[in-house]
Amino acid sequence: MTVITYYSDHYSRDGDMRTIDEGSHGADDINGAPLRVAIGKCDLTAVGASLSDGDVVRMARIRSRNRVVELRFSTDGQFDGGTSPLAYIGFHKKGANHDGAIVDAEIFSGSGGDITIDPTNGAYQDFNVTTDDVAGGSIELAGKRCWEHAADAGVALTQDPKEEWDLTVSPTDIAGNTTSGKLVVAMFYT
Amino acid sequence: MTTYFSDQYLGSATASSQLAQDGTTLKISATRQYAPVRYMKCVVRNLPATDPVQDGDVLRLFPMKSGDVPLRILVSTKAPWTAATDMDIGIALKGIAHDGPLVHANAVDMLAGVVDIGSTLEEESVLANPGALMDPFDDLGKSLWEIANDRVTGLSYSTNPHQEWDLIGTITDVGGAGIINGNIDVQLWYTKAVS
Repeated sequence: MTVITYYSDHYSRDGDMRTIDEGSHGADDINGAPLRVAIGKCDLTAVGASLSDGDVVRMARIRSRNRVVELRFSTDGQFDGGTSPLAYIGFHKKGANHDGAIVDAEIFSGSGGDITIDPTNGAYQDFNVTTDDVAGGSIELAGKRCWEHAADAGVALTQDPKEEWDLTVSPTDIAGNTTSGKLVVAMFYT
Repeated sequence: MTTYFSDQYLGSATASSQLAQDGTTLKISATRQYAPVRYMKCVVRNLPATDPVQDGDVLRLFPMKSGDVPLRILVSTKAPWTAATDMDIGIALKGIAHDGPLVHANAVDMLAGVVDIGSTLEEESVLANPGALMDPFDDLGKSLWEIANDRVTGLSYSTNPHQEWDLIGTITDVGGAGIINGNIDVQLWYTKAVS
């Protein structure tokens, strides 16, 4: 029996994982790059019943080239009275003053990967959005660049647009029954 | 549709739909924007059969500084801890040779209380555990001394004391004659406060 050695994408990129590509190695930002963290918090209590479906909370500033290693989302679940409130997590462009257009509101959660906020749960609910904590999540998500996540979600991007974006949370299915809610996002990235 | 902003844009975590009118936005501390994440892991293995671990025994896990910002604490265990065994996670002064006392008597469970280590755990994130004392909204992104102010009754720092501390685990509810050969792995993700 012949033992075969296969190589990961840190060694081989020509489609044949049995051979090393001369000079091939993982991109610098996924091969020993410093890991960084951005933490954003927002208390919607004061917004109260004014919060509506489709509203957007801009949580953290990122760039389209950033690689998301892990994305954690916590909420105290105080979206009182709702039956099945959800949180969508996606991107909006920065624009001139963090007023830019939507990239896609449902990238890390949304279609097939909704984060369901238990409206009766006063304790913090913590989700690792880049794993199977969220339906549709997968370890395959970890390490992709933000624009690649957007492309996976259907945004027409074939290369890095080199833009400044905002990571956004959009509460959904809450109309008429929201009184409070604290949101926390911790994004580990390179 | 209304857009609200987090404290990354406002400097306050209270939601607002208004940014500064001059087109600028407040930049929050670099600690919470792009600070490098650091990593430590410790392993405690084969606690001696001749001296079983008893309630109140302390595991010194990591040397830290009072300005460090804990991001994740992951606890992994395997048998043979007894089923009821728990661990509190708190902070002690370094002392001369990692022999200092708790920073305050109430700091024994400053970061997490009653972490169940009596069953096999795989990377339980004690900072996110609903039973943990840490509150993600209030505490995530804060330095240890600031968390101490929030969580330790009777302790109050007006500024960073710039002390060397140890992150410690205190064993509780072992029961019986104690435990031998217990083992535990703890991983810490943290960053340094940047002013």
